[in-house]
Amino acid sequence: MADAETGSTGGSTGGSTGGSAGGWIGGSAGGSAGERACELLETVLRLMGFEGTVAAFEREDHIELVIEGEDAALVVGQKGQTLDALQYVVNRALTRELGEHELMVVNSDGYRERREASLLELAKRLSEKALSAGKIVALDPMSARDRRIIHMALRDVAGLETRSEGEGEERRLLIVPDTGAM
Amino acid sequence: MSDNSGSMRELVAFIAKTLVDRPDEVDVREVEGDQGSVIELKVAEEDLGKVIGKQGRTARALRTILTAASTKLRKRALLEIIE
Repeated sequence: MADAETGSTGGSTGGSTGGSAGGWIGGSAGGSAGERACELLETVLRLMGFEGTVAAFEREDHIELVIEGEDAALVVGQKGQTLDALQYVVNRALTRELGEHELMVVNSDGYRERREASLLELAKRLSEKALSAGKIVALDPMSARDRRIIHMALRDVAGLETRSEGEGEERRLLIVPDTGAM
Repeated sequence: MSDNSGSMRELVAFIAKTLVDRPDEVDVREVEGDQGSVIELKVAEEDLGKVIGKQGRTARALRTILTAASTKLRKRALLEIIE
């Protein structure tokens, strides 16, 4: 279930603190964006034929919507693409309904945590490759959140920097050693 | 059918209505074929961009969700957005 090492599809990673300790906001506080998001997502899941409930957790820079139930693993999709599609639609729907709101990150079966771990592993391996070869390493296009995870992971590594190039869904991260070309 | 869980037509209609400015003009039909069904989505002309999205991103998300549903429901379905 681990991602391909290139991490080609742009699953945005929640960067959640893990577990359900603290921050639970779904279910009682009426009228919040998180609660509305839970409702929307639960209805979509039911119409898809999936068994699941959704709980919202307040995170540092987003609200995490966690799908729980017997279909939690199934709803992730290949490389998290179903989660990403659900996340995109929920955020669009909330924007139309409420205007500006916190970013909703949809998570299920620990996928976002696994994705983050595989991105950190990828960052470590490719940064070592860039340093030892003295060459720029270009990653496959990925979402802003995924690029940020790698950028933050390599921020304090001596002898290299990271930057992004390309537009929209083609935007990708470059790992640039100090001694590299350019 | 009182229980509407697992209805691809209702799935597409529900999501489309959350995305558009004129939900009352969302019209979804399911056309059965040999290879599965085609879900035809029609919205008000000015809402077309809202169900297609920049670079087709919203349409792609809808198709991904429909594919996941069709896998779960063991029934093939394609989404067609009527322009």
